[in-house]
Parts: sequence; C-alpha cells; structure tokens
Amino acid sequence: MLFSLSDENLIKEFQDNNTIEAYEILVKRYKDPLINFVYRFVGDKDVCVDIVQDTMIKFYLNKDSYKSFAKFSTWIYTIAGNLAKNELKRRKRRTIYSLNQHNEDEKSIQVEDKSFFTPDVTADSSIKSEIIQRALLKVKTVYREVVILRDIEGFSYEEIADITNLSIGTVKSRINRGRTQLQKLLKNIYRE
Amino acid sequence: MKKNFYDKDEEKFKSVIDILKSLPRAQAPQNFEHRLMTSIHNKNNSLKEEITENYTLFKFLKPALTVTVIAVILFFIGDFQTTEISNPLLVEPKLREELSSTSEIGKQQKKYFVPSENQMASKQKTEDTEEAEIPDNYRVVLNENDVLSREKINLPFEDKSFDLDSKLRNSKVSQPTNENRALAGSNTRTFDFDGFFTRVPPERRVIDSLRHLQDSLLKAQIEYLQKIRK
Repeated sequence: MLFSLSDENLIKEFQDNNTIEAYEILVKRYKDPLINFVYRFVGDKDVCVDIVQDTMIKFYLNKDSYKSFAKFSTWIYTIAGNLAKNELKRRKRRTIYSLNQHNEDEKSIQVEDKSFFTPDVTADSSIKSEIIQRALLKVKTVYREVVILRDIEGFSYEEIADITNLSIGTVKSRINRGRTQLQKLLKNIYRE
Repeated sequence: MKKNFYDKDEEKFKSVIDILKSLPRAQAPQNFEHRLMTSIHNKNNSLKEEITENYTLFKFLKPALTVTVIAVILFFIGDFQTTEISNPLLVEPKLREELSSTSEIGKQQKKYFVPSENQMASKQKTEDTEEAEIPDNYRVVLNENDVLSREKINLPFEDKSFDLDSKLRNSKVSQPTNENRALAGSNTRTFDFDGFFTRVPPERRVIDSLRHLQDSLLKAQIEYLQKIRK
C-alpha cells in the first residue's frame, strides 16, 4: 500500500507516524540515484557509499526539517550535494598538506568494479566511462555539480536551482561552462 | 528568448550530453540498507546517551559543587592564616593610673614595679615611711590586699664581681637564646613577651677585649694601691 504513495506522501507518513516502512521505501527509491550522483561528483566508490549513507541518516534524524512545499527529491539531493562538497573540501585540504602528492594523470586506468555498475557494462565501455569520469572530475566543482544534475540525473533547471540554491540563470550559465570544459577534455573521445 | 538561447546550447553540446547519458549508472551495494539501519540504530543509541548525559543532576551541580568546595577550603585556610598575633611593639602601653586602679588589681594577682623605673613607688617611699633605701636586687610588689612588700629580684649576676668567661660559657650552654637579646622598649621586664631574639655567636674578639679591659683595670688598681702604700 505504501509503495504506491508519492515521495512527498511517504515522507509525510514518516514525519507524522514515524513509519519506518515509509522511510525504507524512500531509501530504496533514492539509494541508487544518489550513489550515482555522488560517485560522479566525488569519483570514489567507497566514499560515495559513505556519503549516501550519511545522507540517509541525516534524512532519518532530521525528517522534520523537510517542508512539504519543496520536492522530496530536491531536498535529499541538496543534503547529498552538501555532504559531497564537504568531502571534496576536506580532500583539497588534505592534498595541500600531503607530502606525497601524486599526479592524477600518471595513474593507470583501472577497469571498474562490475558489481558497482549495471551488468551491461563491457570492459571496453568501462575504460571509456573511466576516462569520461576522469574528465568530469577535472571540471570545476561548481560546474560539475550542475552538469551531473542536468545531464546525468536529468533534473530540470528549476529543480537544479532548488537543489543548489542558485538562480536559474546562474544554473544555466554554469551548466554551459561546465559542458564547454568537458567538451574540451573529451574531444578525443567523441571523435571516435 | 533566454530559454531558446540555452536550448540552442543543448543542441550545441549534444555529443557531450550523449556521452554523459551513456555513462553506466552506479549502484548501491547489496548490504547498503542493512548497514544504514545498523548505523541509524547505533546513532540513536549514542544520541540517547548524549541526551541523558546532558540532563543528569550531577552535571548541573558540578560547577556549584566545585565552587563550594573551593570556598570551604579557602575559608579554612584563610581562618588559619588570620589568627591574630598582637605585636607587643604596636600595643599602646597602659598608663600607671590604670594599672594601679582597683579593677586592675582585682584582675591581677601581683604587679611588679621596678624601683629605678617606678617614680610613683619612690614618691610613696619618701613620703610615707622614710624607710631605708631598697637595695638594688629588691623590688616593691603591690599585693592583692593593697599592701606593699619587697621581693627579691633574681638578677642575672649574684655578685658585683663575676667571672665573665664562665658566665658566657654557662649561658651559651643553658640558655643560648638569652645571649645578646635585643629588647624592645625600656619597660620590658613588666610583660612576658620574650621574642625578637637575635642569635649572634659570641665573638672571640669581644671576649678578648673585655678580658684585656679587666686585666688593665686590675693592674691599675694594684698600681694605685702600691702608690698609696709608698
């Protein structure tokens, strides 16, 4: 019965009656999209799982901070995005103070863990997707976030504006700049 | 217009958008939900502990108890330190009239007056009885029944002539604190304060000089006697 409810109704049920089942359904619905979003944003499988887990814990503990006028998807993506940004800031600090700084370009391309992705991914495409992922990680954080939300997660400009707390104009310009950067980085790939 | 501009951009970046859309979608691990529920359960427990910890009575009373304990300790230490020690040098001396009044006599058993210092006693002596002169080693004592009597003073030296060396040696052995005492004020015999001693070891030079002085006096006396006889 709860499965048929919308996200907003489920969280209302969870808020009003503390129904764990409603919470579990929402977790099931959003765990994969959030993992995908955070992985593309941060670029680390283990860290992205931890971030999404923290997101879900925050959602559980602060369920009352959700207001019904907002979409649940934008609210949960905002939490995940903020946690991912915090992680990136922490990493930046760590690399500044690290004595052993490795150049990411020098790393060899590793074939992705197949269990982490959908089963239809072949070895060739996994290498390709790894290159795309690396290119994506080279795009500035502010542009990367909106590009992922728009082109990978498929959110509308309005929804991205809600998630990032930016104006629609800023979102559009950032998406444009992010795409331009990515185009330059991926020019060899899409020639193929 | 703006919307069209960005829609045009979407066409411009079509290849990039297609590449991004073709990326494989990451999936949550199998045990994600189990791990999540476990950590939520643990977090809930830790939160409950924090809440109970915050509202324990001891936590509220801890600062007050600390302050109280410190205050009590300070009070006792302060009390020990502020025990009044009257400095005899700073105490205002009592007048003779006050000392000889009946109320003072009632309180005190005996009052000692040193003859050389007590003018009142010497006046009474001349006026009332015309008694024979009181020897130096005696003093007048006012008894409880208002009767004056004489009492022998224990002077440090019994005779007029004495052996200075032996005296110094004895005093060094028996009462080392009595050597070279520095007494405050002239009326020091009337009260019991026995403080402010300066312990100075007898100097050999002083003893020698005194001995020389004694010898020279004896020599002079002998010479004088010899001259008289001649």
